[in-house]
Amino acid sequence: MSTTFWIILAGAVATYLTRVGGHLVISRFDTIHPRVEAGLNAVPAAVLTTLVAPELLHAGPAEWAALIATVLVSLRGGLMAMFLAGAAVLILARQFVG
Amino acid sequence: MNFRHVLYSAGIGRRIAHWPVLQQALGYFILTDPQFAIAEARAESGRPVGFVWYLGLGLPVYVFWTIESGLGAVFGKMIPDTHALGIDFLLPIYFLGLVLGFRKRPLWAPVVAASAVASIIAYRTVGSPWHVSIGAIAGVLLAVILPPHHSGIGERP
Repeated sequence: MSTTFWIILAGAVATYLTRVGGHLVISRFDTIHPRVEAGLNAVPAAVLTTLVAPELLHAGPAEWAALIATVLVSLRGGLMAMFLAGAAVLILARQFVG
Repeated sequence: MNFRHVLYSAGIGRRIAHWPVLQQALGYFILTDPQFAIAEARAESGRPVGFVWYLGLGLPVYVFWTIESGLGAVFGKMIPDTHALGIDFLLPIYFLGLVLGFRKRPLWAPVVAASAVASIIAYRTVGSPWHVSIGAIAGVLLAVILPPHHSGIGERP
Protein backbone atom coordinates (compact mmCIF):
# COMPACT_ATOMS: atom_id res chain seq x y z
CA MET A 1 0.00 0.00 0.00
CA SER A 2 1.23 3.48 -0.83
CA THR A 3 1.94 6.17 1.76
CA THR A 4 -0.96 8.20 0.36
CA PHE A 5 -3.36 5.37 1.12
CA TRP A 6 -2.31 5.23 4.76
CA ILE A 7 -2.50 9.02 5.10
CA ILE A 8 -6.05 8.97 3.74
CA LEU A 9 -7.00 6.10 6.06
CA ALA A 10 -5.50 7.85 9.10
CA GLY A 11 -7.33 11.04 8.13
CA ALA A 12 -10.60 9.11 7.91
CA VAL A 13 -10.09 7.53 11.34
CA ALA A 14 -9.16 10.87 12.92
CA THR A 15 -12.18 12.55 11.35
CA TYR A 16 -14.50 9.82 12.57
CA LEU A 17 -13.09 10.15 16.09
CA THR A 18 -13.92 13.87 16.11
CA ARG A 19 -17.43 13.16 14.84
CA VAL A 20 -18.18 10.59 17.52
CA GLY A 21 -15.95 12.01 20.29
CA GLY A 22 -18.25 14.74 21.58
CA HIS A 23 -21.09 12.27 21.94
CA LEU A 24 -18.88 9.72 23.74
CA VAL A 25 -17.92 12.36 26.31
CA ILE A 26 -21.45 13.70 26.85
CA SER A 27 -23.04 10.23 27.00
CA ARG A 28 -20.88 9.27 29.99
CA PHE A 29 -23.05 11.48 32.15
CA ASP A 30 -26.48 10.33 33.26
CA THR A 31 -27.91 13.82 33.50
CA ILE A 32 -26.98 16.92 31.55
CA HIS A 33 -26.47 20.01 33.68
CA PRO A 34 -28.65 22.96 32.52
CA ARG A 35 -25.53 25.00 31.76
CA VAL A 36 -24.10 22.21 29.62
CA GLU A 37 -27.43 21.99 27.81
CA ALA A 38 -27.31 25.77 27.29
CA GLY A 39 -23.80 25.37 25.86
CA LEU A 40 -24.92 22.58 23.52
CA ASN A 41 -27.82 24.70 22.33
CA ALA A 42 -25.34 27.41 21.41
CA VAL A 43 -23.18 25.08 19.27
CA PRO A 44 -24.81 25.73 15.87
CA ALA A 45 -24.56 29.53 16.08
CA ALA A 46 -21.17 29.45 17.81
CA VAL A 47 -19.45 27.13 15.32
CA LEU A 48 -21.04 28.20 12.05
CA THR A 49 -20.39 31.90 12.79
CA THR A 50 -16.63 31.28 12.91
CA LEU A 51 -16.75 30.00 9.32
CA VAL A 52 -18.17 33.35 8.15
CA ALA A 53 -16.89 36.15 10.42
CA PRO A 54 -13.15 36.24 9.48
CA GLU A 55 -14.16 36.54 5.82
CA LEU A 56 -15.46 40.02 6.66
CA LEU A 57 -11.82 41.13 7.09
CA HIS A 58 -11.12 40.89 3.37
CA ALA A 59 -14.66 41.53 2.14
CA GLY A 60 -15.06 44.33 -0.43
CA PRO A 61 -18.26 46.02 -1.64
CA ALA A 62 -19.32 43.00 -3.72
CA GLU A 63 -18.93 40.61 -0.79
CA TRP A 64 -20.77 42.93 1.60
CA ALA A 65 -23.60 43.34 -0.90
CA ALA A 66 -23.90 39.56 -1.19
CA LEU A 67 -23.99 39.05 2.58
CA ILE A 68 -26.57 41.80 3.05
CA ALA A 69 -28.73 40.24 0.33
CA THR A 70 -28.45 36.88 2.10
CA VAL A 71 -29.62 38.43 5.39
CA LEU A 72 -32.54 40.23 3.71
CA VAL A 73 -33.75 37.09 1.94
CA SER A 74 -33.45 35.11 5.20
CA LEU A 75 -36.30 37.20 6.64
CA ARG A 76 -38.69 35.41 4.29
CA GLY A 77 -36.95 32.67 2.32
CA GLY A 78 -35.33 29.34 3.10
CA LEU A 79 -31.70 28.26 2.89
CA MET A 80 -31.68 27.68 -0.87
CA ALA A 81 -33.27 31.08 -1.60
CA MET A 82 -30.74 32.78 0.69
CA PHE A 83 -27.79 31.07 -0.96
CA LEU A 84 -28.94 31.73 -4.52
CA ALA A 85 -29.72 35.40 -3.77
CA GLY A 86 -26.32 35.92 -2.13
CA ALA A 87 -24.50 34.17 -4.98
CA ALA A 88 -26.40 36.11 -7.64
CA VAL A 89 -25.66 39.47 -6.01
CA LEU A 90 -22.00 38.50 -5.56
CA ILE A 91 -21.47 37.47 -9.18
CA LEU A 92 -23.34 40.51 -10.48
CA ALA A 93 -21.49 42.96 -8.20
CA ARG A 94 -18.10 41.50 -9.08
CA GLN A 95 -18.70 42.31 -12.74
CA PHE A 96 -18.62 45.97 -11.74
CA VAL A 97 -16.37 46.33 -8.71
CA GLY A 98 -14.15 43.25 -9.14
CA MET B 1 -10.51 23.00 12.11
CA ASN B 2 -11.99 19.56 12.71
CA PHE B 3 -12.57 20.25 16.39
CA ARG B 4 -15.92 21.72 15.38
CA HIS B 5 -17.09 18.16 14.70
CA VAL B 6 -16.55 17.31 18.38
CA LEU B 7 -19.03 20.06 19.23
CA TYR B 8 -21.44 18.89 16.52
CA SER B 9 -21.19 15.38 17.90
CA ALA B 10 -21.87 16.55 21.46
CA GLY B 11 -24.81 18.63 20.29
CA ILE B 12 -26.50 16.06 18.06
CA GLY B 13 -26.10 13.15 20.49
CA ARG B 14 -29.24 14.18 22.39
CA ARG B 15 -31.28 14.03 19.20
CA ILE B 16 -30.29 10.51 18.12
CA ALA B 17 -29.65 8.82 21.47
CA HIS B 18 -32.76 6.64 20.99
CA TRP B 19 -31.33 4.91 17.89
CA PRO B 20 -29.69 1.45 18.03
CA VAL B 21 -25.91 1.72 18.49
CA LEU B 22 -24.99 0.64 14.94
CA GLN B 23 -27.35 3.23 13.47
CA GLN B 24 -25.77 5.87 15.69
CA ALA B 25 -22.29 4.77 14.58
CA LEU B 26 -23.31 5.29 10.95
CA GLY B 27 -25.03 8.55 11.83
CA TYR B 28 -21.82 10.03 13.24
CA PHE B 29 -19.93 8.90 10.12
CA ILE B 30 -21.97 11.28 7.94
CA LEU B 31 -22.13 14.14 10.47
CA THR B 32 -21.15 17.06 8.21
CA ASP B 33 -21.84 20.79 8.66
CA PRO B 34 -25.16 20.80 6.76
CA GLN B 35 -26.16 17.46 8.31
CA PHE B 36 -25.70 18.88 11.79
CA ALA B 37 -27.39 22.20 11.02
CA ILE B 38 -30.44 20.70 9.33
CA ALA B 39 -30.90 17.94 11.93
CA GLU B 40 -30.61 20.51 14.74
CA ALA B 41 -33.16 22.75 13.02
CA ARG B 42 -35.54 19.79 12.71
CA ALA B 43 -35.14 18.85 16.38
CA GLU B 44 -35.69 22.50 17.34
CA SER B 45 -38.99 22.55 15.45
CA GLY B 46 -40.19 19.65 17.61
CA ARG B 47 -40.15 16.98 14.90
CA PRO B 48 -38.36 13.67 15.51
CA VAL B 49 -34.89 13.08 14.03
CA GLY B 50 -35.36 9.51 12.80
CA PHE B 51 -32.74 7.24 11.28
CA VAL B 52 -34.44 7.02 7.88
CA TRP B 53 -34.95 10.79 7.70
CA TYR B 54 -31.31 11.31 8.70
CA LEU B 55 -30.05 8.93 6.01
CA GLY B 56 -32.34 10.55 3.44
CA LEU B 57 -30.52 13.80 4.13
CA GLY B 58 -27.02 12.44 4.67
CA LEU B 59 -26.53 9.78 1.98
CA PRO B 60 -27.16 12.12 -0.99
CA VAL B 61 -24.85 14.65 0.65
CA TYR B 62 -22.14 11.98 1.05
CA VAL B 63 -22.50 10.59 -2.48
CA PHE B 64 -22.71 13.91 -4.31
CA TRP B 65 -20.04 15.58 -2.13
CA THR B 66 -17.65 12.82 -3.23
CA ILE B 67 -18.68 12.84 -6.90
CA GLU B 68 -18.63 16.64 -7.12
CA SER B 69 -15.22 16.84 -5.41
CA GLY B 70 -13.94 14.48 -8.10
CA LEU B 71 -15.54 16.53 -10.86
CA GLY B 72 -14.08 19.73 -9.42
CA ALA B 73 -10.61 18.21 -9.18
CA VAL B 74 -10.70 16.98 -12.77
CA PHE B 75 -12.50 19.83 -14.52
CA GLY B 76 -11.94 22.78 -12.13
CA LYS B 77 -8.99 24.08 -14.13
CA MET B 78 -11.28 24.61 -17.12
CA ILE B 79 -13.08 27.48 -15.34
CA PRO B 80 -11.38 30.58 -16.81
CA ASP B 81 -12.12 33.08 -14.03
CA THR B 82 -13.19 31.63 -10.68
CA HIS B 83 -13.20 35.07 -9.08
CA ALA B 84 -15.84 36.42 -11.51
CA LEU B 85 -18.07 33.47 -10.65
CA GLY B 86 -17.63 34.16 -6.94
CA ILE B 87 -16.50 30.60 -6.22
CA ASP B 88 -14.10 31.68 -3.48
CA PHE B 89 -16.92 33.35 -1.53
CA LEU B 90 -19.83 30.91 -2.00
CA LEU B 91 -18.99 28.94 1.14
CA PRO B 92 -19.19 31.95 3.51
CA ILE B 93 -22.58 32.83 1.96
CA TYR B 94 -23.80 29.27 2.52
CA PHE B 95 -22.58 29.20 6.11
CA LEU B 96 -24.16 32.59 6.77
CA GLY B 97 -27.43 31.07 5.55
CA LEU B 98 -27.01 28.21 8.04
CA VAL B 99 -26.27 30.66 10.88
CA LEU B 100 -29.35 32.73 10.04
CA GLY B 101 -31.50 29.60 10.12
CA PHE B 102 -31.02 29.48 13.90
CA ARG B 103 -31.87 33.15 14.55
CA LYS B 104 -35.06 32.33 16.50
CA ARG B 105 -33.13 30.30 19.08
CA PRO B 106 -32.77 31.98 22.51
CA LEU B 107 -29.45 33.81 22.96
CA TRP B 108 -28.70 33.53 19.23
CA ALA B 109 -27.54 37.12 18.70
CA PRO B 110 -25.19 37.30 21.71
CA VAL B 111 -23.66 33.92 20.81
CA VAL B 112 -23.15 34.98 17.19
CA ALA B 113 -21.59 38.27 18.35
CA ALA B 114 -19.23 36.53 20.80
CA SER B 115 -18.15 33.93 18.24
CA ALA B 116 -17.71 36.53 15.51
CA VAL B 117 -15.55 38.83 17.62
CA ALA B 118 -13.49 35.98 19.10
CA SER B 119 -12.94 34.26 15.73
CA ILE B 120 -11.87 37.52 14.06
CA ILE B 121 -9.43 38.34 16.87
CA ALA B 122 -8.09 34.76 16.79
CA TYR B 123 -7.77 34.91 13.00
CA ARG B 124 -5.69 38.10 13.27
CA THR B 125 -3.53 36.91 16.16
CA VAL B 126 -3.24 33.12 16.46
CA GLY B 127 -4.12 32.56 12.81
CA SER B 128 -6.12 30.07 10.77
CA PRO B 129 -7.41 27.41 11.39
CA TRP B 130 -7.46 28.05 15.15
CA HIS B 131 -10.04 30.82 14.79
CA VAL B 132 -12.74 28.15 14.33
CA SER B 133 -12.15 26.39 17.65
CA ILE B 134 -11.44 29.59 19.59
CA GLY B 135 -14.48 31.42 18.22
CA ALA B 136 -16.74 28.41 18.77
CA ILE B 137 -15.59 27.98 22.37
CA ALA B 138 -16.21 31.70 23.03
CA GLY B 139 -19.82 31.41 21.86
CA VAL B 140 -20.48 28.21 23.79
CA LEU B 141 -18.83 29.62 26.94
CA LEU B 142 -21.07 32.69 26.80
CA ALA B 143 -24.15 30.43 26.88
CA VAL B 144 -22.64 28.37 29.72
CA ILE B 145 -21.75 31.41 31.82
CA LEU B 146 -25.07 33.25 31.46
CA PRO B 147 -27.94 31.96 33.63
CA PRO B 148 -29.55 29.03 31.73
CA HIS B 149 -32.95 30.74 31.46
CA HIS B 150 -31.35 33.07 28.92
CA SER B 151 -30.96 29.97 26.72
CA GLY B 152 -34.60 29.05 27.23
CA ILE B 153 -33.82 26.32 29.76
CA GLY B 154 -35.83 26.05 32.97
CA GLU B 155 -37.98 28.74 34.49
CA ARG B 156 -37.01 32.34 35.03
CA PRO B 157 -36.13 32.67 38.75
